[in-house]
Amino acid sequence: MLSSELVILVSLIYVGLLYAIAWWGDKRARDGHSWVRNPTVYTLSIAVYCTSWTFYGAVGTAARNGLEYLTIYLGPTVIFLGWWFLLRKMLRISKAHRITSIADFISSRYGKSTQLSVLVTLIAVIGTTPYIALQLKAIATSYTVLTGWEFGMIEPVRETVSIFSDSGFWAAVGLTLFGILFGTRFIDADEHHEGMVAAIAFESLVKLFALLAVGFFVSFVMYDGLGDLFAQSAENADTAKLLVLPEGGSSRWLTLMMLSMAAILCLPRQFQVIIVENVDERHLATASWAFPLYLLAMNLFVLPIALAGLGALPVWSDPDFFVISVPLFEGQSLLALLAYVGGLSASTSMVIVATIALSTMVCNDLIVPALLRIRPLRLTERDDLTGLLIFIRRASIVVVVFMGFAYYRSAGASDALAEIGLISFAAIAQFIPIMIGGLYWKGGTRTGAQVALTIGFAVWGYTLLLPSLADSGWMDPSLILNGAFGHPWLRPESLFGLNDFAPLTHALIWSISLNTAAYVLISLFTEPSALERIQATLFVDAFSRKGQDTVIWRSSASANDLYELVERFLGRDRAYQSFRQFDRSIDPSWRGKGEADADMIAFTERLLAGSIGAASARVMVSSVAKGEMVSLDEVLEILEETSHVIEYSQRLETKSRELEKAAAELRAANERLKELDRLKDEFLTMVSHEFRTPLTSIRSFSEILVDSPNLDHKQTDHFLEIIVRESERLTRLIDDHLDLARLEAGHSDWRAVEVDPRTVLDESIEAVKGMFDAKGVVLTKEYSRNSALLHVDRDRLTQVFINLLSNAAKFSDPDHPEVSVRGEAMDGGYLVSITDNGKGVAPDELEIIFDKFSRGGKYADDKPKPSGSGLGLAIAKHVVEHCQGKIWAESPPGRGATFRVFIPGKIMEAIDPVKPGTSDQ
Amino acid sequence: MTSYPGSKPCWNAQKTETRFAFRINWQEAPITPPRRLTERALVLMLVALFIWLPPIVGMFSLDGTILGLPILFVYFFAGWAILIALCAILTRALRHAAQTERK
Repeated sequence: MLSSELVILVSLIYVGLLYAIAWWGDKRARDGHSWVRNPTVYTLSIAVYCTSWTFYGAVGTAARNGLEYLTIYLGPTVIFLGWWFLLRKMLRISKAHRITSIADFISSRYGKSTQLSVLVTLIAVIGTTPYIALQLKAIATSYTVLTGWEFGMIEPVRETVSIFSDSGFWAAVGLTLFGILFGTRFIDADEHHEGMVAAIAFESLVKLFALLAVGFFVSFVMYDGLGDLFAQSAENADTAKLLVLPEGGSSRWLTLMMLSMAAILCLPRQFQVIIVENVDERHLATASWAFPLYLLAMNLFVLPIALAGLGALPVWSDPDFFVISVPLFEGQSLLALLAYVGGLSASTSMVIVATIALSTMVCNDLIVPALLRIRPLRLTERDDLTGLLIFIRRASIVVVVFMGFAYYRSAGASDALAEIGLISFAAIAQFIPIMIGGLYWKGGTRTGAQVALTIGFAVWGYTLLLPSLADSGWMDPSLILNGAFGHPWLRPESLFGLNDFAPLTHALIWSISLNTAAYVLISLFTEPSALERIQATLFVDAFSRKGQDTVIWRSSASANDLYELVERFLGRDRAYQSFRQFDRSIDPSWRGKGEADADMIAFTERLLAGSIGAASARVMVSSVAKGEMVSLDEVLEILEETSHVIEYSQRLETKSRELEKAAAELRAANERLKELDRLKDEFLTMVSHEFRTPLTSIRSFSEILVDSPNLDHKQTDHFLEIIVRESERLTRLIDDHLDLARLEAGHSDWRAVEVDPRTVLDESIEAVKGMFDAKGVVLTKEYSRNSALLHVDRDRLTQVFINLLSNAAKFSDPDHPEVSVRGEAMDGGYLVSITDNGKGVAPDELEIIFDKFSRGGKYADDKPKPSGSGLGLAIAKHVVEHCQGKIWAESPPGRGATFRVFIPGKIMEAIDPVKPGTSDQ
Repeated sequence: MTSYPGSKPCWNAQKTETRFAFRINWQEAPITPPRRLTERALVLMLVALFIWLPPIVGMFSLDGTILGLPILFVYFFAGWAILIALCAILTRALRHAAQTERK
């Protein structure tokens, strides 16, 4: 009914239309008023998730397994309902780090590791190959069904004819061209492809419209509404079982849900449209409900179409293509053509986005790092690299599409569409542990991620890809049946004896659990590098700390070198535009002068990261920077060293302050020692002098006695008397001296008792009475009414008073000697004042007189009093101070001297009032 | 690109006569909507997961119809629609909260 020319013409016109939309979208974006940047277009572009697997394959799955097809769409719905937690975080991180692909994302998280990005790229390319094959198969088969339905042709001929008459080949060629035209027209600093997004959004509308149109036709033209359709299906036992879930399908259901949740996050093309092409975080908020809504609409009529196809069509028709064959069977060839265009939309959109995403990855994460490593190419010194980059991307698009084509040409594509797609999903799901772990667990390390990914991918290949290849006869099926080395434990579809599950579930259980286990265990036992630690923190704490970038550079690159580097990769205009954003003062003829600062180097690195990936950008910038880049470890070491130095110098400072203090103390001590030494000399001189005086008189009188035997008796007596007196004085002197020495050394024994100072005073007065009488001194004594109770050594205190009294007597006026004693209770103690009427003490001697051997001597006619030892006041001072008291002298000029002693004690109220008495002596 | 004066310590290392710069650039604190709203968003996701996974899914695998449609079919699509509506309302609130705090 439909000629192949017509179908080809429609296909070409449709692709032309897409091209026009994409071209227009790019133009609008370049002019600065892009209509692509809105939430609706964003949501529709995410709908690239619905490929021909959905368009054709979902109906096929529904016809075989009933509502199971929904799992593939419910999983993404769950992820989008939880957008706030996962997708938003991925988006925020990717914006901050200018992530260009999922390989870039994962390698950035694990310390910008090139090996990891290579690994991810390889897995993504291999994992996507069956998926692309699926699309090619869908295009080719739908074309065959549309044109050959009348002849009962439902499969394109592949093996027998040359590939040039295979519609799949032309589909591959067309898609490659389209991908090249849109994905790689220029190298942009940010990987936004407005034109491509516009075309994809348009295609999403077309496929939705086509599927809904077929759905309406089936429900309301072929049948009398959905109720009628379901009622008729319920009557047939084969179709009735599609309306409920199959028995024991829980594990498969669970597996498919998990796979689809992983797929929406990790499929390179989904990452491209959701994360990389996003221009505004708010668009994601809208998509969070709008995309599930799109999925719902897309799936609403899938089951009805499947039921209608099963009810009406001959058994040989392939349920995968009911969307076309049902309208054809009903004679609606235009509707079938629309369905074909819808399917074409679904396929082309997937292939275009996937190839662009993969070519970016292959270029940035596989080829460029490899080329940079080949030194003879001198890539880092080439002038213009934009051409090279574009060439690499175009070549990788061709390679990726034709890998898919090769898979399609092989018998590997003989499975149902959904089964092919699930193999892809399972490969891509291997990214999940290291991605989720990387987003929420700082402990994940690069080594852990690499090993985990390798193990997961190897298990996937062994348990899923190998059996699929064996099924299509590419390899010996005995390996699948008997296991490697004939060991039953190594059978790919029941590894280690686990044979309770279907192959897909089985493969997923082993690959994901081994993958996760390796990731966690190895991460726990390996040490992350400094860069890994920083990246981990930036990723995990993307919201709480908002680390935009961390830059550590030895900044010895010149600004001009950096500018030229960017020019090489982005081209002259784009480099200029970007740098102008960085610094307004830059004009077209700007050639950077001098050293670039760290900001500029960081800016350059991020700029390049946007077009050649984080790992390569780091290598490129470091090639320009003169001298080598400082590794993070090095910087940390320097930091550590510096902090050590600072700490050390602080300690030194403290030490030196302490030393200074000690030195000052030592100097003071030295001064004191010197002073003491001087005092000691003085003291010795004094002591010698004091001792010599009595000794001289003893000696001279003794000599007289010896030399003059004829002295008369009286004279001899007199001389002997003098000798005895002087000896006594010498003894007293020595006693006092010993006493003072004991006091000073604190060795003397104190017999403290409670005494009334008045008693002590009276006793002392009694003791000096003889001397006072001999001199004719007039003594006045006066006590206050109250007294105090002192805790002192009674004998010592008596000694003090005797000393003071005899001093007073000695220094009082020689003609009319008068001494007055006054005792009064003061606050907290007892004050005794002893006053004479002599010449007094010179003001500058008031302190000194309490020192050893010092005697007042300033006033002219003070005569040396040989009778004193010169130690009396010194002893008194020691005793009083020992009793916590105070002794001091007051001497108003011309009015004699007053010695006061204050000793703390308990005040006693006078019980028996003692009349202040006066006694005349 | 903003950089704060305080966040950029530079020092001269005498040994190598080379200048080092170490900078970590923190942007302004991110907006955080009320905790209750984000908790609701989390619950919404968990509910979706709960009702679409075995064994709850199996409980609705029944013969019979509601308004002429199979029970399981209605269960999925009605539940789906309700969750989408709830998500739309919640997202609106989240965005509103985020925007008012941004101001």
